[in-house]
Amino acid sequence: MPLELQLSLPLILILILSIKIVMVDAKFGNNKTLGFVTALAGFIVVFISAAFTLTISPEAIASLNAEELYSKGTITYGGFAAYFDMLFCVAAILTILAALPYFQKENSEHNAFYSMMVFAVAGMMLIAHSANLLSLFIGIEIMSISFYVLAGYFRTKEKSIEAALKYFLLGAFATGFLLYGIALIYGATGSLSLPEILTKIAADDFSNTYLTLGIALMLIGLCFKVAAFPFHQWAPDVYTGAPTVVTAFMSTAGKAAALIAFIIVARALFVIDIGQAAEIPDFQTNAIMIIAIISAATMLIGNITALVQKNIKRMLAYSSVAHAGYLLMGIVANSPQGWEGIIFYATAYLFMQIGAFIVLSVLERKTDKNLDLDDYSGISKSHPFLAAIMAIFMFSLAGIPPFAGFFGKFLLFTAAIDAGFTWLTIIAVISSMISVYFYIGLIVYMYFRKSNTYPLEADMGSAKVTLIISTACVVILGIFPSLIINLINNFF
Amino acid sequence: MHINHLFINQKLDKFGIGLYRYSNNYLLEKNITVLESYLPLIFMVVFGFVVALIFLILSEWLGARRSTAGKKTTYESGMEPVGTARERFSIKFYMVAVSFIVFDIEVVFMYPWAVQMSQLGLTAFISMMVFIIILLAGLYYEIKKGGLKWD
Repeated sequence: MPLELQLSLPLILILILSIKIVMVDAKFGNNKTLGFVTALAGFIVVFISAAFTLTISPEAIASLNAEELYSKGTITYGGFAAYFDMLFCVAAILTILAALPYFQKENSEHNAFYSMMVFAVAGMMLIAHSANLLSLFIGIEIMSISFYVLAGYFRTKEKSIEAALKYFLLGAFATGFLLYGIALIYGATGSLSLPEILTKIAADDFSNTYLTLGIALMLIGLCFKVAAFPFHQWAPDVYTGAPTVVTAFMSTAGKAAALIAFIIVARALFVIDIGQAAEIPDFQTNAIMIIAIISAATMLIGNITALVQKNIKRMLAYSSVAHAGYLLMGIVANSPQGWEGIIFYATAYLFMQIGAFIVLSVLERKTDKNLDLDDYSGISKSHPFLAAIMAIFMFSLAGIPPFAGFFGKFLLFTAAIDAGFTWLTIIAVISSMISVYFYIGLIVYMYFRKSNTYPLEADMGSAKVTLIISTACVVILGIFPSLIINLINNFF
Repeated sequence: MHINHLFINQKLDKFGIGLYRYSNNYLLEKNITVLESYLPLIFMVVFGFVVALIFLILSEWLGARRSTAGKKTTYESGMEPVGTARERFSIKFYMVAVSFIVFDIEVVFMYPWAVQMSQLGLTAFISMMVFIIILLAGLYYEIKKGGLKWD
């Protein structure tokens, strides 16, 4: 089956890469740059192969008979899966480019970092490709375990260890919920394959009680992974304690992966109004209402708590919680439009959030110093370039028009209004307005305050590439959003 | 191939490993329900309890009683039961435990594959080889990083 082989090429390549990078670390453990070079080259190759699978026509993919494939229908090919492969690779490339100078500065370079990055990306790619609850679960676990290790990367720093331990204990607990949910959904419908679950639900052939329970438990697990409201408490501590480059990767690519898991599950469990079922089952209306409430609470809590933060890393961590709330609006809309909104916003968010965290990592000293708002006073004088791009990222995160964040929010808000959730959109707009206060607040500190007595040092190295790429993408996606929208239009 | 498989299972039956007895084909052939197929298991559990009980009673009845100082202390797997409970112990034990679990689970996956290999065919063989290669890569990494060194 050569077509299947072509389509699964990104997955095979990331598998080979993850074995290779472990071997490189074992054989040339002392050569620190070799791990970096291997990971960078590997990610670029995987990116190209994913871009190649995106060019294969959807008709050819649809004509594949699941029973004849090696994957037996547990893996989806092409379409949004290939797009997310590319997205995760870009995030990983941007992160490791910035990680090299960051770890050199902190004197803690190890090849293990690049290995864990490759494993995390492999897990995320498996999530994006999964068409079966078990492969979805395995993907989530590979990703989460790599993140637990990455969060504790500074193994002699107390904060980093605390972050890793908190993340691990809570994450393992949430995984239990997820797995119980999967088990109950399997019990209710008799299948783990997501397309089969959808046909069972559309044909009204399931046990209502167990399915409702299963969806509730799975919702808890997934909400933990995206850091949505009642389960968001880990996020600020972990994002603050973890190394800044790791936070940049975790809060963007990790969130995108959790949301694609959300989309995959929602597409199987919730029927869309037209055509699929005679009437919408009760559990669906309830579940969507619950997700809507979670989404509203997440963005309000995230943004209001971010208001009072003095530490910029912590502020961005809370704002990342708020962004999870915006992204969940796409799930609430439960339409192709909403899912496309999620994909666009996840793309835009990836560039702006990675950019913002990398600016922090460039200016940071001794892992904890130079992270407060006061440290950024008058930085526009000493580092005009960094201040300018940080301002662009902040405007984009706040959702101000010429930048990518605006179009992401626009797509999500229109999708929610079309689905009849006007109240949710109003809350989203209000919380966006709250968020403007602290995003613009940072710009005020950078441009309109007197500079500190001691100027911050900044040695960017290869992080400059990351910053330039993410700035360019934020601006280009803001001016020509159709570049991405046309691409993702035929995914669902 | 099917006959071969039957033959193997009959052989296994002789050694008391009766795997075939719990397979779907067997149930269909003998026309018994799933619940009935659990009957041997219940027999085994009951038999196990009875044997254990008999030996307990016998040792109580026939055994000699000699009391020593060591016997009177709290049972702690042979360790000295007095002292701090928060003793530090070497990370080496942890490394060995992790390696043990990894390779233990590897074997758990390999047993069913090895028993059914002739039926599962080439795809399963290739999958298992990939699995073993990944594990070998891990083992190589562990050896190179000194995970198995005791000193």
